[in-house]
Amino acid sequence: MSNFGAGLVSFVILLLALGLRVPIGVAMMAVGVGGFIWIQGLAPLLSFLKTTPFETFAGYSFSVIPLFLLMGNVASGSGLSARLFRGANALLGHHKGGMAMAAVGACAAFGTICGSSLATAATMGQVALPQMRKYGYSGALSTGTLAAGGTLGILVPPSIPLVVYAILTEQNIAKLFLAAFIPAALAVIGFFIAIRGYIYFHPGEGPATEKLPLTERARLVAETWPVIAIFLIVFVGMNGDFFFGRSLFTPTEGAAVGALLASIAALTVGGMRWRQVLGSVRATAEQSGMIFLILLGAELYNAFLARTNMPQVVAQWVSGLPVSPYLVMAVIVLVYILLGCLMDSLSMILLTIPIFFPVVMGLEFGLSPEHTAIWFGILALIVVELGLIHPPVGLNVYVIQNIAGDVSMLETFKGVVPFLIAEFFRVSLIIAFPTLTLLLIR
Amino acid sequence: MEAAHIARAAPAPHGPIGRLLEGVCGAVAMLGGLLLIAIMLVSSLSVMGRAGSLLFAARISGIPGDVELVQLGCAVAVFAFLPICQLKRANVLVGAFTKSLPVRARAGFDLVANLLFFVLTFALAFQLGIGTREKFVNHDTTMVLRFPEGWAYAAALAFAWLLVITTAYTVARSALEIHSNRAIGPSPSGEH
Repeated sequence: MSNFGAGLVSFVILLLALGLRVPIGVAMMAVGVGGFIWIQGLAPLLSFLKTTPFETFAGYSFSVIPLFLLMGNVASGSGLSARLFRGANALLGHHKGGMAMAAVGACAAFGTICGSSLATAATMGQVALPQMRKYGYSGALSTGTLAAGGTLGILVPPSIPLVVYAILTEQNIAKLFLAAFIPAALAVIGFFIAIRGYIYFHPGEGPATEKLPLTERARLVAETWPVIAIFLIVFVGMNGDFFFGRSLFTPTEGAAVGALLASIAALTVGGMRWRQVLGSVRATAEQSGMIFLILLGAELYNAFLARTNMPQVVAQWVSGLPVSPYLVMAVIVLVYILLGCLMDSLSMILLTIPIFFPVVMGLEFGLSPEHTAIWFGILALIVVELGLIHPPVGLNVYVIQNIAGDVSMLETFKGVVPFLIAEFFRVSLIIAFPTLTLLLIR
Repeated sequence: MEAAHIARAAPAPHGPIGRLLEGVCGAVAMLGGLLLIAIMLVSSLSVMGRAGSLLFAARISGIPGDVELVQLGCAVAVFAFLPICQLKRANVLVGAFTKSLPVRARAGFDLVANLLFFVLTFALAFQLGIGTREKFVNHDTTMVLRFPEGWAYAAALAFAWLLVITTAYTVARSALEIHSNRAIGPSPSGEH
């Protein structure tokens, strides 16, 4: 069997193992190890294992991940999320569907200090759901809003899947974060339109609430300052070259400062207890362990895959096809949506990028290689995140439906539909106009 | 997530070994968490030092070797996080194709997966041990601080062996689940 054949066969075995409950990290490790031995024999593998796993975990760019997770977990356990919702609601609540729009806005704002979608959905769900239900918002609209809003957690930087994409493809993390802003803003606008559209067809499911006096509204908005301050410090510092020509700190330092500031804010103005701090640390430990196991698996599998030349051969074959590069992109998007029925976003990125990335880089979109890589990264992030809200798995949907308790699964999925329509238009826009993503990038 | 929305028979509690391991793995994970907090402080202090020297032209500066400390600390912390993850079934897996199968069949698949993981972690820990010895023999140190890398490797090695023990336990746990036809211990949080 040729090395190329071995690469293909390994991928089939990998998918089979995944279907049979082998954890993704373990499956990638096992297939990678098997393939490594097939191609090079046992001795190089054994010497690879002596230091490479440690060195992988010691990668400086990887240290961003546990630190951003810590920041998000601390923020989730604090009272900051409630402040964000109150502030957004003071601005928007008196419009029809305003409380739902406020929930979306608060999710986006929370996304600036949290890099995970599930955590954003769960945190804002606990804060916003009871309020929306209390003011007469229907179960479908309120659960659908929060499930969709939760996806803003990974779309708005920081974003763990984006960090992983940056490392896998050797792109600049800060630039990718910057590129995510306009697509994230489009998502917020799209979700607002989806909410208004829903209200148009189902009036009475999202009533306007009483308008507060101006001073009270100003006070509630002003109370969101800790989150805004943390976000500004972290992102201005990380993207310093965009603002004043040199970056002040590396992404890792940005994550460290962010985690420190979030902890200080949570313990002082957020009213967090030490017990909750321990809980945040424990959650960070489990999430990091789970992510790094997949990263190690990907490292081993990719070490093998790179030796088979399979990705390059596939990329060459695809670029030689007599079809539009946009059609290839559409097929890739479709594959992500299908995979999203089975997997979480991070696993999807790690599994597919080694093959899809060379394919995309081999296509001609009229962009520089760096711009192609950034554009594809943002696009991939958006479509893998769709898997969190579309049936049948839609983890965000389950989390929110669970918090609500009194809303049926069918109704929650019904509530998600307008948001999926908005997302369809957004993905089309982002594919058709790469400028939208690249506008902020120099 | 899975367990939350599909009603199933309540899982049987841990046995004494499971409880002991949960305590040890939990403590080790907290140790890793402390290390992560230390990394956060070192990195933040370094930024503040640099900002201070920029603003006040004072004699303070960033922490020398902060990058090395972050790297070694992070690697050790991650090794400390892996055992609790395995013990609590937090590792991500695709459950869609097997979720309607009876407990016994699912435990059968888990047995194979855990056995595979056990073999892999055993090889990893064994080879990491050789790597650690080489680091000590060669007196490998970090570039700036001249910190002996062997010590960080040794800490990681201890946690890697805890991971081996934990995977061995999960193999036995799956076997017991097949035998008793009942889920044991924490319900999966990583299943999709």
